[in-house]
Amino acid sequence: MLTTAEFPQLDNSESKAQNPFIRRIKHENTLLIMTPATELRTRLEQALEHRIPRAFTPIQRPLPERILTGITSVDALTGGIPVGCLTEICGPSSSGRSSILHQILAEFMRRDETCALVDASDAFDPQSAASAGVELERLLWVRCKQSDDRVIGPSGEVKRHSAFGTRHSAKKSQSNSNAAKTPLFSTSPDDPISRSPDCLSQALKATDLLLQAGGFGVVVLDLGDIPIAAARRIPLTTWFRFRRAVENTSTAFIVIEQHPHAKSCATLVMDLTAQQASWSEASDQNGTVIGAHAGNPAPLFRVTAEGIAIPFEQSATSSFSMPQRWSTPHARLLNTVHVHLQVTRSRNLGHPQKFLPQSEPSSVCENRVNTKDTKCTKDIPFLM
Amino acid sequence: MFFACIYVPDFSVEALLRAAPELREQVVVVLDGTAPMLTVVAANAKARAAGIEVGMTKLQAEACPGVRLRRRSIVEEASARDALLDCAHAFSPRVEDTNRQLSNDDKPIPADTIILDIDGLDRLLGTPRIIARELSARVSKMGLNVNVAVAGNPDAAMHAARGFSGITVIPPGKEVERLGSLPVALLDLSEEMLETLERWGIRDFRSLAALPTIALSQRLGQEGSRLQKLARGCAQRALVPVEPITKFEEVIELEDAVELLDPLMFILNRMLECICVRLESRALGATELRVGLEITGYEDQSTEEQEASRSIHQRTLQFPVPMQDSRTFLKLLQLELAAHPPQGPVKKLWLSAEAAPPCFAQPGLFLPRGLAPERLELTLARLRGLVGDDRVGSPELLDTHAPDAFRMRPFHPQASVRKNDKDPQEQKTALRIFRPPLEAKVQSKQGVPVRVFVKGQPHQVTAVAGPWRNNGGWWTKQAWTRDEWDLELRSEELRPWLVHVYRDLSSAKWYVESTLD
Repeated sequence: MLTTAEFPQLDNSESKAQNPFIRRIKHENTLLIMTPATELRTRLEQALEHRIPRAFTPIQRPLPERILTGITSVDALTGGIPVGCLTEICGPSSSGRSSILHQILAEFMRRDETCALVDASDAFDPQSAASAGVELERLLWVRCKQSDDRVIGPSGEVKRHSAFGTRHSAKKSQSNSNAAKTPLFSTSPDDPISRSPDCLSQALKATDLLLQAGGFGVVVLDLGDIPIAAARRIPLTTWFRFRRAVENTSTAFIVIEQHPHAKSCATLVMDLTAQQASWSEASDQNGTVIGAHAGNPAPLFRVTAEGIAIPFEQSATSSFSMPQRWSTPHARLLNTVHVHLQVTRSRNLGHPQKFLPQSEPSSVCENRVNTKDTKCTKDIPFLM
Repeated sequence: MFFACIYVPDFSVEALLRAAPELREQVVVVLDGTAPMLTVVAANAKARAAGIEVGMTKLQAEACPGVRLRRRSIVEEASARDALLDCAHAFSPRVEDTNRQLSNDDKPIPADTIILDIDGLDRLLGTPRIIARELSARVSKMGLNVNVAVAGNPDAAMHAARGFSGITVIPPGKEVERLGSLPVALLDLSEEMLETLERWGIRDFRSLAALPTIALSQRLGQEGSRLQKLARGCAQRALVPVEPITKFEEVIELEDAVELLDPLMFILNRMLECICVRLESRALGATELRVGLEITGYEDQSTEEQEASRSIHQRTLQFPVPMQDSRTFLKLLQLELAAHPPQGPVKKLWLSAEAAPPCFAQPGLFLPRGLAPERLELTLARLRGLVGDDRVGSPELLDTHAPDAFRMRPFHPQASVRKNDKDPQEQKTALRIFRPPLEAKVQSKQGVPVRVFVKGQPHQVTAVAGPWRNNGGWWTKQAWTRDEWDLELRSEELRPWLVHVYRDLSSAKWYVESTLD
């Protein structure tokens, strides 16, 4: 590029017309106009190479590393949880969000990672997490304070607000003395977060602290029971900040919620819907319920529609050796919950078919590379 | 053999200035005694230049313009002495606390002199002068101005340190020559002996050393012979080493009580820096930090009320690994005191650290990088300040059949010792707990729930399993007895809502405990 300092000082118009330097500029300008855009871009990039390398070429972001969830169907669709990115797992209550989350946590811990869970509604169940394989001693659990804004039911609507609960939680936060005097984050009445439920505000601040601290394999923000209206008030800048905090790190950031709110900040969005629950009655074609003890696959009893248990031939030591009357619900068990998974957004979806087992049809998921919004569906059974 | 001596001139003043370095550029005088007979026991160089001398009364000292009068603080002197000993132990295991004796009124004499055996250190640090310079620099880092002397025997080093300012190195055989100009008052003399020597015209070491030994011994006895050996710098004795200090404590007594957190943190910062320098000099880290605040009443209260409100506020911080960073400690203390503030003005502070050797763990090459302990502790402290002390940590399941039985314990992630052998192909349904459980109204038909009202919203029961009786803890106050059900609920929308409900048999009320998710 030419700068004004490189232009020679001209005395009059006559000398300007005959100046070889000006003639060369005119010639080059003519060439530039005639050149195609791609060639022009190449030439400009070459000219600017020493100052701005590859000035007009978009930066090729490498595909993020992905950690498998341990659920074959989910891995087949998504390729795993992207590291250094934001992943949203959405769905109403009873749609399998927590089950997938526990599997992901267990999978990360299998890789010797430390995990953090910010629980906005204090709903995490350590017992079921431990049974899913989560090592609780390597899980940092941040239990945000109670709020009566918690969602009841699968519809995602707030059924009732308790004025006492809100005031009580506000009082509690005030009684937390100096935390109120010297807040870590500045909040104003106009701030959407400060107008949100107390637990949501705490959850966002806690997540911010954890992401900034770094070092965790996965940080989970559980907003699963936060009302949609409240979660929608989280400003997009917050999601951008979260995405920026995990970018180029080895931390995966997962948000559990009812509807996706992070928009373009999310790399992967999984939408879950509960399909049906299969109870033990449904497994019998003849209308009888067959029960079995855990660890012993042999049927121990059956319950007919009339509610009579007719034991099978068992040894004398069996507790079901004598005919016994059963009411049907006693013997019924929740076997499986079928969940419908839809990937509504995935950046740079890789080659998911390689994760599919041989028995599953590969046509379930479309293989699209560099797609912005991909819709792939899959049913996942969750056993009780 | 070489011995080094560290001597702190005006120890009482230096101990005060160590705790309040902003006074270093001012005229500072230390008073001791009982009012109204307060006298000057120490003064800094500026005060001496202004004409203040040891032994003046408080009234005389106050005549000097701009003078800062401070009461002697035994606890701060003890902290300074401990710091001095720590510094000496960083160089040698054989350290003598030379002034370790009691005065007549059972008050410790200022421990201003430390002698250490530096034999063999030349291979580590270099010449005796370099060692003396290192010693001086290390002690200066602790906020004390000292004289350091190196000589062939402990007493010669001690007299040189007390007599010459700065760094003095006396080569072997040059003791008489170098110590000759020192006044005989530096020797540990009785009043009678000093008067005798004064009458003889013996005023310095050189004159005393030049006296004939036999004649001196005939006139002054063994004491005279001992004094002459000291003056010649050839007295040999064994060091009496002290044990290294394992308790790192700093104490500050304030003249005016502090009522706000920020100035309190300013003072704590100084104390933390002193402790961290001491820990660093001993290559140790702190695993526990205890802060104690003596709380007094407010100024506008009567004396009785102030005495009644006098109390001790103590907080303890525990760290998973030994740490040395004073900034991290300060931030953690700030967060802790912000969460649990003292209930009144603070008059006295003490800070102690439990020391331990730092851990050096080599992480595996193929393992993920762990969390930095200092940063993790700060993050946890901030989280505790945000949501509460008992709401941050790792859950630990309790060995009981009680529902939702767990407790929170501090988050100290350790390397995994057991691997998950769970079948990855098998997915388990998780629960989401309602804490506390939601009260519900249930309509039953032949004992089986058919309709559930949760927070006023009706839900139709489309599938049911149960009940299962669950009871226990009848021998405690936390007894539970209930019938549990798994229900599939549906309301307006078609999607099922799977919940776990129970009927408390003691109150005959229904509750929604969790949802399957």
